[in-house]
Amino acid sequence: MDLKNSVAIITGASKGIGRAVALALSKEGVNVVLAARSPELLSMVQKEIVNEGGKAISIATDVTSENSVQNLVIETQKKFGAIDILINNAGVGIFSNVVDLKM
Amino acid sequence: MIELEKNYVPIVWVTGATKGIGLAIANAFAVIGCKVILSGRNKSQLEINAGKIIDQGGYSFPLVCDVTSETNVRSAMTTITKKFGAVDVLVNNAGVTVFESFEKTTVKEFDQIVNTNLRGYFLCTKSVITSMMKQKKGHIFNVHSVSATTIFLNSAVYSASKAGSLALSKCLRAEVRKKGIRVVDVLPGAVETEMWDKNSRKKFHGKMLQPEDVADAIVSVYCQPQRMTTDEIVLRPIEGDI
Repeated sequence: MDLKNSVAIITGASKGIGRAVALALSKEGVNVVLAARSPELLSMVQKEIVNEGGKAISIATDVTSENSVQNLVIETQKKFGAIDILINNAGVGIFSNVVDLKM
Repeated sequence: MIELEKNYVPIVWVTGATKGIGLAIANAFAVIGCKVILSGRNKSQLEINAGKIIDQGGYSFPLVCDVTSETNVRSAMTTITKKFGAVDVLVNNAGVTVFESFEKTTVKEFDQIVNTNLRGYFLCTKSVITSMMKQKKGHIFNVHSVSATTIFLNSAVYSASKAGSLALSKCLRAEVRKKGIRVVDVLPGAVETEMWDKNSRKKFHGKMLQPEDVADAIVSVYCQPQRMTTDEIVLRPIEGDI
């Protein structure tokens, strides 16, 4: 499948699975939009992609915030004019007994 | 009629007891001799429902509580503890939905559904679980829906909330079953309640479960012998889902 020049938003792209997905898509020629809360971590992934000849932008985003997500979409459209792929990846977890979780 | 142990009067807290399935569950526990706390958002309706139980010789206590509010749940628990000591049976039943496509469902609607159907179950369960563990007994009935495991159109957020509450409940059961606490998942199919609009209720009348069907199933599981429990109750109209 030819993904060249398509546009992908990846949430939770600052590390782990999200970062790996962003790097893989970039290798296929996809323009990647890196979204996560930490601008510092995002810029490291962005640099990594750009250094390898890929195209990436970083948009600090908190997916729990409706405004923040709207901003992500608006900024992506401004920069690339479209969104072809969305990778919903951002996630958090606490390993705890239900009983011990704070109320 | 199912009978309780002599001289034992269990304290039962039913959320969403203003109408529908919750009210039927409250009535059914009152009939077998439990003290029933009916909670919900509509004070006057709760008082009417509680009054009817008392008129029929039962014991009931109306308690305003919006399960989406941590403050409300905490203060409900304070009242219950002062008045009754502890809860023996919690029935997480309060639930809401909108029948709407994913595209048309608003963020506000999402929050209301998830906060009631999932977060509300978490909050109410948290408020009773410590004392149940101290007592080394207790029942928690979580009323989900067959939509926790089956796909229906125009119910994405509802299904997500129910799948979430079911998963939460299964994890909880694994944690507490050896501590004498029975967590029972209840998955009803279509029940003829006000959750459905008038036209649907008219169209599918006779093809839906009645609230009392769900209530009777819960009470019969509650009255099972001590040596056993029922992890999951799945109820469907005889002809299946509508």
